[in-house]
Amino acid sequence: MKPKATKAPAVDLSVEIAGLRFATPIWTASGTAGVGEEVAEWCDTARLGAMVTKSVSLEPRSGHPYPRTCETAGGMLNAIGLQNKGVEDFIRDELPRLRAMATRVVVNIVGHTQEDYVGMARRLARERGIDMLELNLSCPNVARGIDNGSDPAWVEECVGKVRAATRAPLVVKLTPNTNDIASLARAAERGGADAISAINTLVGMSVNYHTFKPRLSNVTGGLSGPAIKPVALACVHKIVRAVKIPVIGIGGIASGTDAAEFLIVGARAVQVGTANFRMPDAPIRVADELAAYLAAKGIGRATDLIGRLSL
Amino acid sequence: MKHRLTSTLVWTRRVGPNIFQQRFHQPTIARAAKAGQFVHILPADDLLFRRAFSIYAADPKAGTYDVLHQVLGVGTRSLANDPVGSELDTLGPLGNRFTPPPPGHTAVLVGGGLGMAPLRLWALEQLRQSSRRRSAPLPVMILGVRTKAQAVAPYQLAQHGLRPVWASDDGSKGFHGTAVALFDHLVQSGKLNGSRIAVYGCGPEPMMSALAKVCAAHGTFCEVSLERSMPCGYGVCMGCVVQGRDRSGYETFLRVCRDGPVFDASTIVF
Repeated sequence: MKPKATKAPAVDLSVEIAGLRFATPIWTASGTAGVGEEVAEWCDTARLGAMVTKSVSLEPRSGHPYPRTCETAGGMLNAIGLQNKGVEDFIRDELPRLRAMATRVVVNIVGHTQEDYVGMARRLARERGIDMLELNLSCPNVARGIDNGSDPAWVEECVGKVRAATRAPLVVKLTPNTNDIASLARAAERGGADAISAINTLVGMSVNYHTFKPRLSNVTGGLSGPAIKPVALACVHKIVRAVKIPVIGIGGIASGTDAAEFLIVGARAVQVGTANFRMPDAPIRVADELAAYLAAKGIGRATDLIGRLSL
Repeated sequence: MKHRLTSTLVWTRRVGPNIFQQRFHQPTIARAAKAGQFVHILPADDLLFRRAFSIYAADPKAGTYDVLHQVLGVGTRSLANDPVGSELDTLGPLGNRFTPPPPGHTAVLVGGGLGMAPLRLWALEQLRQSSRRRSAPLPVMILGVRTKAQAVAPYQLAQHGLRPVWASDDGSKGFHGTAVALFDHLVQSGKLNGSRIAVYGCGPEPMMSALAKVCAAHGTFCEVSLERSMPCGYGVCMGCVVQGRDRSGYETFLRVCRDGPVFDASTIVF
């Protein structure tokens, strides 16, 4: 279990999405890297593809009471409740630090209504240093978080309104808590999304059989970690076949070969989430391992792996 | 830049019912460790998350640190069963530390059960201060246990000149009652001067709540070290929160791993 330093072989990991070049296809996933400050203590952020912030909302949110997390077999449940200081505090306190990082900055935004998303997009459009917006249309831990995001008509309308409000590239993050994620992806594409990210967490629950109480204060939470990787891969597979815009895979990625599986299925980038809680340098390790995997396969560029699924 | 570190298990000792003391060799952590801080250890490759342990002892010269824990689940069981020489992936030292008492004030350490773990290191730091500055008062340690059998390794305290006052729920060791009741009794009876002491507590949350209330009633400075389940330990997951007040007095959730684990008791909403 000794931590080992890894050295990346000479492989071109860079990818292009929405006209932007990313140093690697390995990004952090929203909600698992804060707003970058803490991660920067453990990782050379210049080696990240992009830093995706924790969800930012129009108004501050205090989130749910403790306990908010619970370890499960091969994964975890969380019901943080989108705790954040709101967009104005984000712009004042956190954006300058993010701007100073030598990586792409993707700001994840969340709202209760379509107008919230539009207001956030307009407000952030006035700020420098934001490369992309990721629309969180799929958080399972807040009221109406999934209800709206699982309705294709609502998704198309919301993305369309945000598209009209900003020129920033838009990534739309989709929920797996639906019976037809491909139709959500098509709706986001019709609305004007530049890319799709998938998946957000799956709704789950855990019970303490000694006390008969739920293990989370919110009763249910979002399941993430290695346990959801097969679900995420299947969702990405469906979405890739349904839309022309790039797809960013999320779900249980903790190693270079995990990332490779998503690229093979057709994702153009991936986000590392729960693994960051276990290893604060996880995104760098995943990138190094992906490079080593590509080198061993004799593949010189990450882009050459994308969509090479053999059916 | 911080790095993950390898801690090598030097030995494991059973020091109470299902309670283990373990010594690890890791010079970086041993040199940097301050009382109140913790290490975040991955007990086994097949576990998803690390487990947080207060630093119980640190020897910068030998490059070792100790933790004290009770086997409660798969993580602590795995750790307790690890063979000598095991190499564990570790983050640390993490979190903040206890604040030194104001000049002339006596540090009073109030621990419940394994809450004595960070307090022992703090008591030793205070003892060193006292020996450097003869005017500095010696720390007072008040430890509460359920029963005598759970009084962990009293000799480890005595060998450093620490003579804790004990309280037990069943009266089998020292004062019959809780550590907080004993502390309150010592202040009420004038054996401790409420305005000339600084109190440091660590133990179960109801106990910390009671201690904070007693200290507030006496107008006494009080810091408490809190415990939470921590997926990340370095401040990004927001899972280990406690209800508190920020600098402006607004109620908010504070991260025990990053904003704590040591808090001014008046900032916590118990």
